[in-house]
Amino acid sequence: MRPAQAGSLAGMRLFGEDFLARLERLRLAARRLAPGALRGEHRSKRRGRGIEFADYRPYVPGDDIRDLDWGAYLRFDKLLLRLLEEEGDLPLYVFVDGSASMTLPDPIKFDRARQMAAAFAYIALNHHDRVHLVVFDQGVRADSGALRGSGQIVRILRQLESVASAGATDLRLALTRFFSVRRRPGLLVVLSDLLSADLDAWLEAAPGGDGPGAPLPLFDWLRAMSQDLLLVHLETPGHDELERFGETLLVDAETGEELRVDLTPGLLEEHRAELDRRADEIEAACRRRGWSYVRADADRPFDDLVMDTFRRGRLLG
Amino acid sequence: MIFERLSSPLAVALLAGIALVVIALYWLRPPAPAVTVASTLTWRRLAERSKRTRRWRRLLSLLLSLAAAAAMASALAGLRIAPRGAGGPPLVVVVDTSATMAAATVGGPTRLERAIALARAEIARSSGPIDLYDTTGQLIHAGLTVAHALRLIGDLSVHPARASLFPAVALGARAAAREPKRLLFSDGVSALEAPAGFERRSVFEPALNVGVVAFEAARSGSLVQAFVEVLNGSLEPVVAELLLDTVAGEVLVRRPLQLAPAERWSGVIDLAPLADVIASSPVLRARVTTPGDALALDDRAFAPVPLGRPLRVAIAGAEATAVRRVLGLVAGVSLHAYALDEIETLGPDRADVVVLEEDAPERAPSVPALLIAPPSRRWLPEPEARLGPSAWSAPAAGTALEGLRVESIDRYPMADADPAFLASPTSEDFVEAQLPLPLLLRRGDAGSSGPRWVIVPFAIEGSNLPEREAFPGMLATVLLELAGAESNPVVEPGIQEVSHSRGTEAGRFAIDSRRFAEVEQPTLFDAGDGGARAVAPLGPAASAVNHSEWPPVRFEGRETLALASSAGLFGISRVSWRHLLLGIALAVAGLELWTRSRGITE
Repeated sequence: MRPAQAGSLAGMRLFGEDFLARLERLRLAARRLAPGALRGEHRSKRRGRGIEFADYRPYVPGDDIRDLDWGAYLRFDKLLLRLLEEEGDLPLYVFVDGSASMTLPDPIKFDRARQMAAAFAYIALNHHDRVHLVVFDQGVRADSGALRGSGQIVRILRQLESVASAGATDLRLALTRFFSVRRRPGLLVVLSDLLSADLDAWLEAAPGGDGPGAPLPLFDWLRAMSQDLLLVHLETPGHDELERFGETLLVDAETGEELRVDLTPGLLEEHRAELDRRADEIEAACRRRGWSYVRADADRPFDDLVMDTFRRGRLLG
Repeated sequence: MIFERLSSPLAVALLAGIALVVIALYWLRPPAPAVTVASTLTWRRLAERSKRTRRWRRLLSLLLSLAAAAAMASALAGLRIAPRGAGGPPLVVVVDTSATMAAATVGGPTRLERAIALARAEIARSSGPIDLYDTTGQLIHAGLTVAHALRLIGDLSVHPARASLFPAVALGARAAAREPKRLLFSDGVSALEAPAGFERRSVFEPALNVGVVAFEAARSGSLVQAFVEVLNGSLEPVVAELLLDTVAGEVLVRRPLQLAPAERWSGVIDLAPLADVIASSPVLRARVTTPGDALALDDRAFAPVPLGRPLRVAIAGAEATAVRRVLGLVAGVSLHAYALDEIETLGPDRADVVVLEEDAPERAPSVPALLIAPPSRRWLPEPEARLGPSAWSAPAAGTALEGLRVESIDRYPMADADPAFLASPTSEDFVEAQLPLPLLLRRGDAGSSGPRWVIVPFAIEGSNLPEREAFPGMLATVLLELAGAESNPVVEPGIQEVSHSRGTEAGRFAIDSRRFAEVEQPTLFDAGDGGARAVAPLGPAASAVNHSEWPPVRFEGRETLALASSAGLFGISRVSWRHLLLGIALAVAGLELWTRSRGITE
C-alpha cells in the first residue's frame, strides 16, 4: 500500500495503519490463492458461459435448462449440464451484514465482518478483480459499485468504517434487489451471523409458493443467477448473551419484539443445539450446490480467521 | 372423597396464612429483567416446536404441584381421607397376643388365628379409619385404611417373652369427632385391663393343656435337688409324662403323671446321684408331654443348677448391654468391670471368665473368655464371610430358639479349617440342628490345656436372643464350660427386669409371665438384693409373688404415642407425617418436571 493511501486512512478506528500492514501480510500469505479463485488475474477455471467445453455435471433444480446437453440425455438417460469454461475476470460481490444483531452480544462480530470484507476486497483488488461491496440489512444499505484497481481499497475501507449496525436482516430482499440489475456471474461472499428472519426462505419456497411463478428459495435463485456463494457464518461463542437464569424478558435487537422466557441450563442447551442444527442445515444446503460454508469464531485473531476462511472456503490452492 | 376432619383450627389458619403470603409474593414478585439479544428467532422456533409438549407438561406439572400442595396441607393440618366415601365411625381393634393365644382350638387354628379372623371380618365391615393394636407392642397403627389394616393384622404373632399389657390407645382427638367402635379380641386369660367402652370378643374355648408351672434347681453342699410343678389346666383328666434331662440330652428322670382336672402336681427330685452328669451339663430341662396338648409354650422349662461358689466374671467397660444385665441378675455370679488393657493381665486369681462384647484386647487374655462378635485380632480366627439375616430366618417351630433373629453373622472357619475351633455341642443343643451355622464356636476341649475361648459370631444386641427363654441358660452354660466343669453358675431362665414404684426388680417368669401370674412361685425374689440372694427353700410352700399386682411398666410404643400426642397441636400424627413425606416427594417430582418444561412462557 502506498504511503498516500495509508495517510488517507488517518483517524479510522477499525482500519488503522497496523490493519493495512496486516492486509499486506495477508496478501503475501494468500499468494497460494487458487487460480481464478478471486477472478481477474488468471484465466478463470470457473464453469460458466464461455465457448470452450469444460465438463459435465448433473442437473440440479435452478440450473438454466439452456445448458442441458440433450444429446447426453438421449444417450445416458440422465440430465447433464454442459459446462463451458468462462473467459475473463469475474466480479467479487462482498455482502456484509449490517443489521443490529451483528453487534450483539459483542461488537467484535461486526468488526470482524467488516475486516474480513476488507481483506477479501484488498486481495481481489490487488489481483485486478472487480469488487462490489454491499452492506445490507433489510435491503441494500450501501453499495460501493463496481471497483477495480488496488487504489480503490481506501474507498472500501472508508465505507466499511463509516457503516453502523442497525435494523433487521433480510438477505433475500437485499440480494434480489441487488441482482435485479443484470450482474455478471461471480463469487458472492456473504459475511453474516445468519440471524435473519427469512432464513427459512433461503432453503425452501415460502408456504403456498410452490405454484408456477412462485419465488424460488434463495439458494435456488442464486444458482439460477449463476452465482457462486461463500457463506461466512460469524459467531461469538465465547460471549454469553444471557448470563443469568430465571425469568427474563428477551428483546430482539433487530425487531424490538419481546419474548418472556424462564432460562434454565437445559433451555440454554436446547438453544445452542438449535443453533447448531440450523447451521448444519445451511452447510448441507451449500454443499449440495458445490458452495462453501464457513462457520467462524469472530473472537479469533484476524489473520487466523481470514486464512482459515480462505482454506475452508476452498479458495487456497 | 370426604375429608374427615381438620384436627386443628390453628392449622387451618396457618395454611390460610401461607396461601396469602404465597399469593402476595406472586403479585409482588420483581419484574423479569429485560435483556436485548441479537435475535429471538431461535427462541421462537424452540417455542413453536415445544408448543404441544409444553402444554401437557405444564398441565401435568400443575397437577403434580397441586397434589403435592394437597398432600402437604393434609400432612400439616391432619386432614384424613375417610375410606369408602361414607366416612363411617372409627374402629379401634386390639388383639391379645399373649402366650395363651398360641393355644390350638378345636379344628386346628390357634386362638390368635381365630381372633385375627374375627377382627378381619370387623375391619372389612368398617368404613372409617382403623386403629390397630396388639398387647405385646408389635403393632401400633392409627388411621389405617381397611386394606392396610387387613394387611397388617396378618403380621401378628404371639410373643411369649413379652409382657402382655393393654396398649395405650390414643383416643383423644378422634373421640371428639365421632364415637369409635372399640373391640378387644382375647381369650380372656391375660389380665388385660381394657378401658371402658371396649367390647370384648372372646376366642376362648376349653383346651387341653398341661404345663410346667414351676421348675427350680438348688444346691446345698453336696445336695442337689430340683423342684418341678405341673398343672393340668384343662377340664378333663389327663395322662402326661414328665421328663427331666439336661440340655445336652442326658435323661435324668422320666415319670408318668395322672392329673385330674385343675390338679397341680409338684415334686422334689434328688439329683445328687446324677452329680457327674449335671457337672458336664448343668442346665436342666423339664418337659411335660401330653397327647392333644393345645399349648406347647408351657411344656418346657429350664433351670440351671446353682454354683457352690460365686463365679467371677470379668467384663470390659461399663456399658449396660443385654448380656451384662442378665449376668448382673444371675445369682452366684460376681461381675467385675475392668479396662480393656487390664483384661490382658487378668489371671485365674482374679477372674474365672472374661466376657467381651464387640471388643477384644490386642493380646489374648490368659483366662477363659466368651467373645461376642469380636473384632479382628491376631489371636482370633478371621471370619470368612459376613452373612445376612436370611441365613438365620425362621428356625423350625418348637425349638428353644424359635423365632431367633440375627441381623448379621460372621462365618468363622469350621472344624475342618481350624481344628482349634469347634462348633460347641452346647450351642448345637440350643440350636437343635435347625440353623445352618453353629451359634457358638469353642476353642479347645474341656480337658485341654491352655486358654479356652468361645466365640459368639454375632452381636447379641443385633439379635432378639435376649428375648429368648433359653438365653440365660445358654449364657450360664457357656460360662460354666469356660470356667470349668466343677463349678456351675446359677442362671434362671426367663429373667426379666421390671420397674415399679418400689424400684427395679428382677423377676423370674420362666418363659412366660402369664403362666406364673396365676400360680404360686417356688422361689422368692426381692428388690435390692443385687441378684446375690440365696435360693429359697424348695417346695410349694415357698413365698409367692402375685404378678398381677405389678403396675404396668415398660410398654413398647407408649413413648411413640406420647410423642405423637405432644405434637397434637398441629394434629401431626404418624400417618400425617407420611403424608408430609409424600407431599415432599411429589413436590420434588413436580418441581423437576416444571423446571424441565418451563422456559418459554409466551
